[in-house]
Amino acid sequence: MVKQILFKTKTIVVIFIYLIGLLIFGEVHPFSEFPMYNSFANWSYAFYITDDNDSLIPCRKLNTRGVNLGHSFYAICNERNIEYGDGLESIDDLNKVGFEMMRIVLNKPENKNIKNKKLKLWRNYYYYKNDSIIHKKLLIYESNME
Amino acid sequence: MKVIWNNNYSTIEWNFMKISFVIFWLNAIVTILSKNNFIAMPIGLLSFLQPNSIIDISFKLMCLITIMVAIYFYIMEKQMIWTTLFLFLISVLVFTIEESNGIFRRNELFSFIFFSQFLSYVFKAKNIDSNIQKNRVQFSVQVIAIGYTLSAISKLNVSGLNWVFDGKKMPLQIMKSYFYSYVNDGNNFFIQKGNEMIKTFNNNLYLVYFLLGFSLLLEFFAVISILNKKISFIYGLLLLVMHIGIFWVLDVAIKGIYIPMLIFMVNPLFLFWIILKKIKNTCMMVVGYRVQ
Repeated sequence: MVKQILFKTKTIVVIFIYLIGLLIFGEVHPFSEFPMYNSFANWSYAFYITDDNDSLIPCRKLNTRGVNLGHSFYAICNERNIEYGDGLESIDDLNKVGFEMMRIVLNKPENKNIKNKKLKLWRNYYYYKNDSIIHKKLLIYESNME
Repeated sequence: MKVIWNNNYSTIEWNFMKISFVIFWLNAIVTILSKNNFIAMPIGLLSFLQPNSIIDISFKLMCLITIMVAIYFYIMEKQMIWTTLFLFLISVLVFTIEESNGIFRRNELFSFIFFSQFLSYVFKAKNIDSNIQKNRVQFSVQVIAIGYTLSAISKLNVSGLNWVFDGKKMPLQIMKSYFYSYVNDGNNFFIQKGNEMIKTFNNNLYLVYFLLGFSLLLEFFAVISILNKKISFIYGLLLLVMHIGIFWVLDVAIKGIYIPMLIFMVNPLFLFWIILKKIKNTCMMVVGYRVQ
């Protein structure tokens, strides 16, 4: 009986199992709703790191990628139940999230010997106002390496 | 042409799929294991395990050795039920390490494809369906197809049909994406390219609406690619065009999605091999003709 049902539904059996898994576990690997770009909000953030002279340190030198900084920001906010987006985070929250973001970068094995005295983590905030894109930059965390 | 345009999967096609899939998967796995020696926020499978012992150097080494053995078994088609189950579990574990450090590369398809292949071999072993030639590929295509359809449902669920017209705010995403490309190397070219792209975008807003609508439909109906190999191939090419468009506009290419799709729906390595064979045969014919 079970074998017959499985045979008849084989064309969709994996889809069915995946959907059941997604319902039970939610957004947990390997289950996902694949929510990338599911909305175009009136804001976007980009993060970057500079040295003590405010010159950009390319992410490759820190063995990461720009987009990974963004991913870690959202993951930390989600984990700590911090509401994010549209520039609504408090300075205090941003500072705490920035500390965690920097910890993830600096804990990479290749980043043990960084020679900079200071590393600064910045957030670019883009949004539309009257059909023009506004760009605000904010220092969210400063890490003293000495 | 008949070698490609038919509804059966040959063993050689399957071998090309397996080899290309496992190369990309192994590259991702080795990168994660070598670059993570710390777990910031244990999630998923790692919230039940001892995360610190998972990223220990001896564990990583043991992991890599067993993975290499499993890959040998996978390529040589040995003990496929246990091999694919092991590859699925190790894949979930390693990708969860990366996600536990806040990095989401959307590698879900990579992991679940191993599970779908495990299921196809169970179907054969338990005499539910012995058509393993077809099932091991069609089951993999099912995972990919549902991934795209779920993505469309997520868009409709969060934004509704307005998603298409909300696309006018996409320049904010374009700015972000190109800024990240600049941040990676410090190359100003990406800032200029981003600004040019926004100008092109704003000058062609109706075309953008059309393309977004087309992408949404394409994603939503991706499940029809499970019907047969020919439909899957055509659908794969359409999805490839969509990914190229996304890369051109947003400078974003999600490897965890488009690589499994290309491998199991289009099978480029196999196509390349067929073309090479064709060139070789033509050359042989020309040489033979001259000798005569």
